[in-house]
Amino acid sequence: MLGAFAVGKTSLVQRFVNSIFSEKYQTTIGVKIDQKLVQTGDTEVNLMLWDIHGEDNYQKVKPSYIMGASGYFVVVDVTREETLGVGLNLQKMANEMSKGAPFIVLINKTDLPQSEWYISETSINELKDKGLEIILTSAKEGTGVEEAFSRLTELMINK
Amino acid sequence: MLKDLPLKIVEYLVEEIPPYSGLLMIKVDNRGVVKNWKGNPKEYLGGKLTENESIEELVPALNGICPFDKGSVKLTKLQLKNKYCDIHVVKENGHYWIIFIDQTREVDSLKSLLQNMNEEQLKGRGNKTNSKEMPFRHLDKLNFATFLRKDDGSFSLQPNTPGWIKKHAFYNKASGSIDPISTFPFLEIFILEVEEFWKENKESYVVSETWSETFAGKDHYLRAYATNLNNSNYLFLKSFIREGVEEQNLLQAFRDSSLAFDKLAKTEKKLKELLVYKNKFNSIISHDLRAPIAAVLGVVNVLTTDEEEIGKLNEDYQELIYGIKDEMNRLLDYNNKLYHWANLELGNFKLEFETISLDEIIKIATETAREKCNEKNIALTINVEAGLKVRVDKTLFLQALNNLLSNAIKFTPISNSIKITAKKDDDKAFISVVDTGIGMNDDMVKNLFKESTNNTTQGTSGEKGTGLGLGIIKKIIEAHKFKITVKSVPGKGTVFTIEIPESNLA
Repeated sequence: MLGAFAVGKTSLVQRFVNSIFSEKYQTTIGVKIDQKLVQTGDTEVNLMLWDIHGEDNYQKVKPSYIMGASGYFVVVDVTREETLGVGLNLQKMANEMSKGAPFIVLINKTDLPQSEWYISETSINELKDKGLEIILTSAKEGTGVEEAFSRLTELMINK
Repeated sequence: MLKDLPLKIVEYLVEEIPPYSGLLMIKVDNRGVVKNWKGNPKEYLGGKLTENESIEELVPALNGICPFDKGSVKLTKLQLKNKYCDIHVVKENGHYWIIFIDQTREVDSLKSLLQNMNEEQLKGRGNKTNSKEMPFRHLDKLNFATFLRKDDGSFSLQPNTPGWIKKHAFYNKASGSIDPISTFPFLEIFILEVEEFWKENKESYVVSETWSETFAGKDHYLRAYATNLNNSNYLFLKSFIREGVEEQNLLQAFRDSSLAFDKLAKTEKKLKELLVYKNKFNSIISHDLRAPIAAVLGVVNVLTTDEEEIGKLNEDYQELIYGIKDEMNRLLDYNNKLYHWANLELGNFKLEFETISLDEIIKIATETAREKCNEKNIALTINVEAGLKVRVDKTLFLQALNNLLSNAIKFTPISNSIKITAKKDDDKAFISVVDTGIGMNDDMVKNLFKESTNNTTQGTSGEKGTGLGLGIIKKIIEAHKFKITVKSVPGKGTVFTIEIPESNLA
């Protein structure tokens, strides 16, 4: 899980692994590791989820964290425009370190009113046009979460 | 408590200091004089801290270290009044932050470790062979699990295992073993760095970043360390719950304030957009209302100026017509002010400066005001220094003077007087409108130019106000880069003075 701070990486993992959501923002120190067994077709896959601390002035993501990744999510907060730039920069670094591992951009917090969205549908479509796979998610309501993890698992298996 | 710290210090706290259970930070100048602090000094130093105290007197351990410009300072495990602390000194923007990092719990653990080691020595069990075989056998007291790397690359957990690792589901109770790499996925990456380090066979150590995992129903913050000793490679794992939470709280505080700031900035942006929208709306509406108001007023004017026609109406209807005329005039005035206000707010104007004599422009303004003065029997006197010329936007400046005079008339009782003066003093020109009206108290004067239409006051003859007049004056004066001041005494009157700088005198 890569992205700027407070975009909802931990919430997405908690929603996926434990089906829970907390409104309270809890910053992640270092890396939080969780796992979940998922079924993809006939294959059972044990996903080892590295929820990496958010990137900002205080904490920078260490490239070595991504070295062994089979795939990754770049998480963006739809209400904070700057998180898209942070996410895309992290994606560049991750692409290099993971030698082209599959990834999906998750536009999170889509449960918030559209009037608060700072990443417009046009920007999302532009990213799609550039070939990025994008899923709109809400860790709060669970929207797109199962779909995102299933899709990334599928991409990782098929790679 | 740490929200207002400079970025450099925050970065230092996050990256450079060891796990801690509390912090005190004191900002001093180069001579060690206390300027500011964060945290609870009493907890660390045993007493109160005051500004301009000498840090050397408070913390004798720092004696001789000041001034700090000799280089960075890091002192470890110093015993203060109530605590053991590591002390770091960090330079920031000409000052120094002395960071007291609470290590009391660490020292307490070390104490029991040293105690055990000394007791073994005293009992004759601490011989060299034993320390070579199990050199880190007491580290469990500091919550470290010690692993020795075997020749086949696997790891054996050394005796004296701390309780936390025994609670892990992967711990084999029968054999007392656990494979660190497959148990803690984070180590899969860290071990690559460690293998390189072991190859170099250096006599130092490497430390991982912090990571967290949940096992045995608890969130554990973990950190791995690796070292070489006597040609053997050791890997250590440490769980530290409380220190991890402290670090999280610190970062949390910074990020919370950063998020709150972002939210405020966004709200401010939205509000500004709404204000522009409001002003545009006002400007368009007041512009479009001018024509119908003027049309109605035109008809009423025709009716009231034609004595023959108005004479055909009975008194009640005549009164109604005059009432309509008064209200329509007031509406027109209000609408004009709204229009000017909205356009001034939007910045929809460009000053067109021209040189004009003060005598002339004040005469024009007073002619407009004369009729209203006559209605209230107010004596209007003018005293303008001869030959004074100014560079102003004639239309806007005249509007400001008209509004000032209207305001003075409104608040001056019947049969009193108003004076308008203009003179040059010390390379500047001053125009004053002096009334003998009801005056204002200090609070009213303070809030006079605030952009609110809620505080309109009726005039001495019941004149109603728009609340926009003074705001318009302020905008016009500011646009000219002039100044306006107010002096007022309740019950005696008010003086508004416009100050025109030398650059606008001709």
